Amino acid sequence: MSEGEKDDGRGRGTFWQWLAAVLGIVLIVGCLSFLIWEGLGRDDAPPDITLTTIGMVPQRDRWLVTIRAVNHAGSTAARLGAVGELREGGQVVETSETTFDYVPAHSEREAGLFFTRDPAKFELRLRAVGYEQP
Amino acid sequence: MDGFAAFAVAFAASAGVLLLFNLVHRGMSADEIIGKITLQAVPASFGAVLARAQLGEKSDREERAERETGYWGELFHMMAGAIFFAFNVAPTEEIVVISHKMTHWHALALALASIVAMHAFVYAAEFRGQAAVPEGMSRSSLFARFTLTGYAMALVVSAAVLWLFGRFDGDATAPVLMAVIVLGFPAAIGAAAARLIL
Repeated sequence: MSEGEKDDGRGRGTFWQWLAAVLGIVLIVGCLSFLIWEGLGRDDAPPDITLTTIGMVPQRDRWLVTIRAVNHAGSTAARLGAVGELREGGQVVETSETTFDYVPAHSEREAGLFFTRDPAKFELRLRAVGYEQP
Repeated sequence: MDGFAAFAVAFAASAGVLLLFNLVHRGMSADEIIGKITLQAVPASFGAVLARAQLGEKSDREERAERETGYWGELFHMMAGAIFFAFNVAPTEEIVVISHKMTHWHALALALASIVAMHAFVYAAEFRGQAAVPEGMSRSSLFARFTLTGYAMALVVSAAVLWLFGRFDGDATAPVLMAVIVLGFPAAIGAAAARLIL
């Protein structure tokens, strides 16, 4: 079979062409099956968010607390507001907030909060305050 | 050499356009400027090659080479077309936003629509006078070997380009797959169109 031909001369395709076709079909059927399976799972509960601290980084004249938002449910949360409070003895000493553009279903995103006081000296509380349906 | 020349032209054109729109300016670091121009040059170079194929004059040698494109050559053309369309659209927010708004059933329908559209392009070729359906090939053979393989490739290209632009970070499988299928639609159209044009 020469370079320029599209098949084996009988309109049927060489072994390698059929291999490529089979790989393609497997990939497509796999994707579509996954979609159907997930679709039937009916997991469209509203977003269920947990916020955790990843680390604290001292910077020039402030501290950075890196945080992670995890969405445990099956719907995407858009414009997720996250607030971090530094507390001492039940009083809120400082508050910082940030917004996550999107936290998709069963996925996670990272962000950071800046504080003027050292978070390690206080009790740091993170909470999610609201979201929007995309 | 043609490829390098195309990239050089694309690089210059991208630099010019970005300067014109004030998207690169003083105050940006050197690596940000080079990065932006280089990234922009990728789809621009595809455009340069495409323009030459469509509008330029071909030598006899090139004409003959074109008519003799084998199966793998066609697949390569499809990949180029898919990359071209995917690259232009992937950096935008819209792909990801659309995938967030869709349900799984929408994505399923979009995948099927992409396959149908790709297959329709093959028959559109007949109106242009090109023999896109080689003689003796059965319809189902054609469907499997060009359309399905082509769509699978469009999905792979779509996934690769999305990954390249960092759209997958921290995501579970389902949102990733949805975004791949959304981007796979223009990629599939690009692949089918490239097969017609090139």
